[in-house]
Order: sequence, then structure tokens, then C-alpha cells
Amino acid sequence: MNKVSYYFPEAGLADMAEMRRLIEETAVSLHANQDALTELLLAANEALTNIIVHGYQSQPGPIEIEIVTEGTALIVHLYDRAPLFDPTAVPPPDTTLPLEQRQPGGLGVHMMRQFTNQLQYRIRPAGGNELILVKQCG
Amino acid sequence: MEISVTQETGQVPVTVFQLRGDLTDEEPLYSQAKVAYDAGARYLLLDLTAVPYISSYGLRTLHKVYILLRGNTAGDTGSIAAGTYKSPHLKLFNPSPAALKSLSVAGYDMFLEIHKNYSEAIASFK
Repeated sequence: MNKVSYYFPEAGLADMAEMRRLIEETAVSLHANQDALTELLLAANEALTNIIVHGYQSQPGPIEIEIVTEGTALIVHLYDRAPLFDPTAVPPPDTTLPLEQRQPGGLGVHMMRQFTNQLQYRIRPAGGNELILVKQCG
Repeated sequence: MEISVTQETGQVPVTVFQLRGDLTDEEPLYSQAKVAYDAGARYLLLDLTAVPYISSYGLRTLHKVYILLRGNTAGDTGSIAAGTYKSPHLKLFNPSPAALKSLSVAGYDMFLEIHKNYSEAIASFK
């Protein structure tokens, strides 16, 4: 098992590309296949955007990214200090409905679920959110 | 995100937005679409060639642009009910594999035409 972590004390949307790059570098070192890597980056992108835009209301806030490799799985832990929010409790949207019959929005958590093998949420003992994205990359 | 606007003439006038950067927010896409719509544009092709990622916010914006361009005209209710309706007003060109995954997982690829050939995309507007 390998573990690396990165800390962004004042994370904002401008840091998204760098955050994705760090996750991508680790995935590549694991020889993740391109399809799995793309999906993991989409899920992570969604989770990070939600933290910054919803959690921190687009104001700078701390985010820690911890990337753990276990066998062929890549596990991304995202820690933040935004108000508590459990995305795994959000009900799934009906994506088969025509756009005419849908309200815009509500797809973020759906994307995280669809692009990972497992999505877990924990409240940290000292407070704050921990979101865990598990992706099989082998 | 940066947007360049060009006009093409197919069977109808087509406004083309070339997007550059991640589509992760409502702006500036929605405002630019509103400006074009208010100026009379009714057919919009979004060139996604230089869009690495579309987030759920980007998808929501595409949905809002779809509604904007639809205006007061209801879609073909028969084909909507049958799940075969695609917008005649808003179409997409050349999304990246990652952008295509976002469109697909949201089910948007069922309701928006996605083209890989630019000339065919322009010609498809009627």
C-alpha cells in the first residue's frame, strides 16, 4: 500500500487542474487504464467542485487530498472543513427522463457514483467531511 | 472558460460557440447564449473540441441553454414520450472522451445530437 497526500490551504476553482494532475500522476504510476483514469478524474473533479462551490461557497478553504493505492485500486480521500454534507445520502436522479421533464441540476453526486466503484462518506472525529472515492484501475 | 462566436450558414443560420477550457460553471456560457438568443439566434452548435471536462454544473448549463433555445415551442410530444426526441436548436460538436462520459452518464446524449464532422453538424440544422 502506498499513500501520498497533498494539502491546499486555500483551495479554489483555480486549483482544480493541479488537483486533477496530482491524482492523474498517481494513477499513471499505478498503470491505471485510461478509461478508469478518466472516470476517476471525472468523479474527483465533481467532488472537488462540489466542495469548493457548495461547501465553501466559492470562498478559499482547506482541502486535503490523500491518494492510497491498494492492489489495483486507487482510493482518493478528500478532506474538507466545509459544513457537514453527506453526498451518499442524495437520492439518484432519473436520467432516463427527457430534458423537457427534468429540472436542471442534481447530477453531481450521480456522476460521482457512476464513475467510481464505491463512494463513502464519513464525518471526521475532529469535525469536517471525508469523502472516499474507490476506483478499480487494473 | 473562453468562448469564441462565429456564424455559419447552412439550411438555417447557425451560431457556433467554440468553448475553451473546462465547462464547470454557468458563466459565461449561459449569458453568451442569452445574448445570442436575444439577438435572434435559434440554432446553436457548441464546439467542445477544447473542453477537457464537463462537470454537473456544466451539464446544468447545457440544460438551461437547451430550455432557452426551445423558447415557447414545445418539442414534438410524441417523440419526447417515445424517448427519440433530439433538440433541433442545440447540438454538440466533437466532445472529448471525458466530456462524452459526462454527457452519457447524465443521459444527455439521448436528447442532444453529437457530431464528429463539422460540416455535417452545420448541415443538420433545419
